Amino acid sequence: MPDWHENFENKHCRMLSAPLMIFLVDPFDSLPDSLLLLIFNKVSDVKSLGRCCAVSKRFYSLARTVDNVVVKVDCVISGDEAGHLSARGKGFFGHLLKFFGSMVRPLQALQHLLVPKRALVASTSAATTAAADVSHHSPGEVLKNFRDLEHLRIELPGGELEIEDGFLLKWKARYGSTLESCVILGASALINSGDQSSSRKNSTRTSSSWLSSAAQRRSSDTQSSSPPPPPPAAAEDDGNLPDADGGFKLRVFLTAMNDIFYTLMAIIPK
Amino acid sequence: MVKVTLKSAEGDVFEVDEELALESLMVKNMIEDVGLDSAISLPNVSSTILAKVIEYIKFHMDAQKDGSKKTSEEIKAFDDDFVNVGIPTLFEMVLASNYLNVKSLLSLTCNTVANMIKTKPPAEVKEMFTSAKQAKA
Repeated sequence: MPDWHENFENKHCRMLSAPLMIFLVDPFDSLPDSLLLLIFNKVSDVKSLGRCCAVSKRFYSLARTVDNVVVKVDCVISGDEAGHLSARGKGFFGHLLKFFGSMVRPLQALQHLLVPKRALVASTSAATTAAADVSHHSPGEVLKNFRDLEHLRIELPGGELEIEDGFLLKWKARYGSTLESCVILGASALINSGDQSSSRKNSTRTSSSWLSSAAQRRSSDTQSSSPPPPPPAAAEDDGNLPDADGGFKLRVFLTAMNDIFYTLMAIIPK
Repeated sequence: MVKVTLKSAEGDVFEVDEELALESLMVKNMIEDVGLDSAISLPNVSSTILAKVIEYIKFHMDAQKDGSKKTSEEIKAFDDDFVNVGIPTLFEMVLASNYLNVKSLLSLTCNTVANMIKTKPPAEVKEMFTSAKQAKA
């Protein structure tokens, strides 16, 4: 009977071992948390991380501790009729307003923190208030799930905001225990002359130039959960708007950056 | 040229140039601690993976040399080809490069896994790695 016994054992061991192996070798189980976190940090896109949360409990707990996040705001609600009208009427100033208007909407949860800017927008476009009841996940809502955020990059494709084709605005903030630096990069087909010193040609888009600027702030003023101080409004001098002057636009961008900076501070006070 | 002897988990012996071995910070520390006389055993790295890691380091060391004619496209093609392996092997390489402390390889392999995860819905990610499990079993 030893033959039979051996056969039986072989057969059943094989049958048993196959399903057992399935449970034992999940490739992700072989990776320690630190390595998986490294991978998640390389994923960094906020939507992909959201999807990762749905894969497993382990993914969920780890994906929330990622410290390097990229937010792509690519689903800005369009169809702002009032904004359109004001934009046509006032040229670049209108575009700028509309840009702010579109900005405010994805950041609805923070509207109460943006009172000065919002008041400015609401006076010319009533549609922003109407858009408030459209359900939309604001970056603030999404980002509050990330507890150990250190690097944040937000990309706003300008085409979606209907400012101008090929418009791109990027900014990047670096966090330590508090906000350490905030880098904003704007590129626009609007600005192709003027201050050559601060702009250089982008090889891929012939008609666009880059404006880059870094705003380094002391960390002391970032613990404020209080509303941001009113932005220095370059938009206020509507009457004497210089015609497409690069210097003015630089100033506008700096103002926009200021707003964005305070918005970022409001999103993540710590 | 001084040689360093590396011993994989299976006990296979790899003899490599010292310069190449020093690319792994872990091996570098070992050499500093115990010297070059005895073989350095790497119980966490299998022979196949160790061979691949050595191949990777060798290629990139050659590419960085002054006389090298390799273009960045060629290097990228090599990297793409290098990580174009089954998921179990890829994960073993992540582990090995972490253990051996080879920064460039770790970032390459982690990037590959991240890209796999990035564009897929959760169910597909789960399925992808479940099928990998079954394939290995």
